[in-house]
This record gives sequence, C-alpha cells and structure tokens, in this order.
Amino acid sequence: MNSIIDLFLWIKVRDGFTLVTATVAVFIILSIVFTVIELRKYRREQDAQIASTDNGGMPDSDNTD
Amino acid sequence: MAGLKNALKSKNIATGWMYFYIHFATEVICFFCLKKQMVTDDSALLWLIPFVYDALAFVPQSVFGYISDRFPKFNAGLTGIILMAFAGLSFWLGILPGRFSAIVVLCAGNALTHVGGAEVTLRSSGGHLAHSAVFVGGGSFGVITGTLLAATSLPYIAVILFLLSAVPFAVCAQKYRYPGADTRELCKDFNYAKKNIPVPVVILVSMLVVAVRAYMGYCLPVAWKTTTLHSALLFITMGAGKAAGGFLADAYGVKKTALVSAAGALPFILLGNRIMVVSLIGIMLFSMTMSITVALNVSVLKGAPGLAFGYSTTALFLGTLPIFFITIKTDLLSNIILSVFTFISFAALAIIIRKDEKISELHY
Repeated sequence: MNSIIDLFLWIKVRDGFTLVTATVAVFIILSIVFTVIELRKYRREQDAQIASTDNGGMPDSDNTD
Repeated sequence: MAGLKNALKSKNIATGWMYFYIHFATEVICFFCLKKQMVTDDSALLWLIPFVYDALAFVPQSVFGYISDRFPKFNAGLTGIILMAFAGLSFWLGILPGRFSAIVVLCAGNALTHVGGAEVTLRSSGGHLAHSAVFVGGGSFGVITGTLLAATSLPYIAVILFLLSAVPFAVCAQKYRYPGADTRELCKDFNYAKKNIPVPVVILVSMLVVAVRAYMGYCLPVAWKTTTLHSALLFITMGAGKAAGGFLADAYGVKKTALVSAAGALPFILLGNRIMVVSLIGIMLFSMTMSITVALNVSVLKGAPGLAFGYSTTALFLGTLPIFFITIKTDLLSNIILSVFTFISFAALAIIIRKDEKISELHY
C-alpha cells in the first residue's frame, strides 16, 4: 500500500516523468494490439461471409452431410 | 445552402449538443483544477502538471475506447463525470494523498467522458460528422472558461456542482448509443477513406494530421493576443471551427472541407500575426479538420469507434509533445515549420480521403 502511495506522491520530478512515459508507451502498445485484434476479427467475419455466399447461402457445406 | 440546412437538422444531432455540454463541463473542471494546482513557485511542477495531464487524459482514450466498444452498456460518460467530481472533491478536501493522485483520477474521468461522447455521437450519427464535431467543439469553450474561473475565488464545490449538472445529459445520451445494436452496422456509413489504402496507413496519416494541428496550435503566431478577451476569442473560434467543420463536411463533402480548410488556413494564420480578425479566420479554418480525422479512423475501424477516436487523441498528445522539450525562438522558423506541416497535412488528406461524389450518394 505504501509503495502505491509513494508512487502517487511523485517525490522526484524525474521519477514522475519516467512513470508517465512508461504509461503512455503501454497504452500505445495496447492500442496497437487491440487494433490488430479488431482487424483480424473483421477479416474473419468477411471470410465467413464470402464462404457462406460461395456455398449458396449455407454457412458450412460440411454440416449438410 | 440546402445541404447545410440538412446538416444542421441531421437525425440525432441532439446527441452532439448533449455531449457539447458534457464536454464543456468536463474541460471547465479539468482546467479549473489544473490551473489552481499550477499556482506555485516550483517551475518543475509548472512543466510536469500539463505534461502529466496531456499524457494521461489523451493517450488512454484508445484503450478505454476499446473496452467501451466491447461493453456497449457501460456508460463511459457518466462514469467519467463521477470520477472528475471525486477528483474535484479530492483537490478541495485533500482526500487522496499527494498532488498527482487526484490529477490521475481527473485524467481518467476526462478520458472516459471523451470516450462516452465519441461512442454516442459516432454510433448515432448515421455516418454524419456534425454530431462528433459539435461534441468536440464544446471542449475549447470549457478550456477557456475553466482557465478564467481558476483566476477567481470561486470555490471548488461550485465547479463540481456545475459538472454534476451534466449527469442528466450523460444518462439521456446513453440511449442514443443503441447498446443492443451491431456497432459495425451503426457505423457502416463512415466510408471516407479510400478503399485501396491499407488500414495502418489511414490511421497513421490521420494521426499525423491531428498531431500537426496540435503542434500548430501551440506555435500559432498570435502577437495580437494581449488580453483575456483575446484569449477567450481564440478558444471560442477554435471551438466554433471544430463544430463548423462537421456541418460543412456533411453539407459540401468531406474532401472539399478538409482540403479547403487545410490549405486555406495557412495564409490567414501567417498574415494574421498582428491582425486579430485575419488570424481568427485562419484559426477557424485550421480547426475544421478535427471531426474529419476522427471519421477517417472510424471508416477503417467501424466495429470499434471508441478505439478509432482514441487514436486521434493519442495523436493530440504526440503533437503537443515537442512543445515540452523544444522552444522555437524566431517567427521565421516558426512560419517555415507551419508552412511545411500544412503542406504535409494537405497532401496526406488529399491522398487518403475518397472523392466527395461517392460520399454524397451515401448521405442524402
């Protein structure tokens, strides 16, 4: 608990600057990761849509056997 | 003119005005608290407080936005207001330890309110830009109001109560987020980026334009700005320009508005160093691209409008970053930088935005 409070007390300016910079870096990396996840999801949905159209509207031809 | 009338009466435009007020109240409390904290002799704090605020209010919005995209019933705007009210109370009564813990809470609240505004205005607009433009326009009015109020003896509680007056709007606006609907379907009419340009390029280019505009905002040649009234006029013009950009884009086309405003702003800004009216025209034009860059990001991330909006605010931080470390001392150098950056923005926007004829078919 004390360490968390110390973190927020920002005893030295330099420590605060480092912490903020690291936080910014983490958020930017997370944004990129989430974007990749979102785009992959979109591509999967599109592929599934194309596949279902190719199968004459049936979602998966293997399941019709 | 008919196009402009249609834009002014767009369906669900009330969401833009509701979040205009929420955004206004948000910036009032944020700048009121920050400016109060900056009444200090410690020069390091005078540098660090704006840096921390810019970093922690702007950058997390993409991550908060993505979380909000995944949980549509989560009322980000309302949560943000509650957090900022708590931060204000903490500044007033000293609830949280240290100076920066309350600033961190204030930043989180600010970020969540912005995410809420983006989610509601983008999901309810049917591909129009006016809604988000009106929402973002409210911020500039709040920045100058909060800054001016901080110089008075107004107590914290008055500003906190003013912020809480935005709660009913945050509750009402949530309905227009259409939590049960498919996000991609709601944002399907955002088709402003050219299809053949890869998604990362669109995001990077729109971020570049936002960053350039953010940087330019700090190195504008405004020798005429000598009084408080002048400062107020500057921020009011910025806010009005942001809102007007959305309406004009809806009425006359995104590409036309983006290119005319990006190229038209430069001569007014350069020639208006000592002439207020000329300078204000330039500032209004240069603020108009705000909602366009957001719409470009949403065009390639239709399923995640919160994340898309967050990229714009991350770019705002990256654009302001140089001013914390570099000081430009000559007007000539400043003008050269402004001109080069404007040309880069113009070229980038010309490359990635679709032709207006195609867009107009989608709209009216």
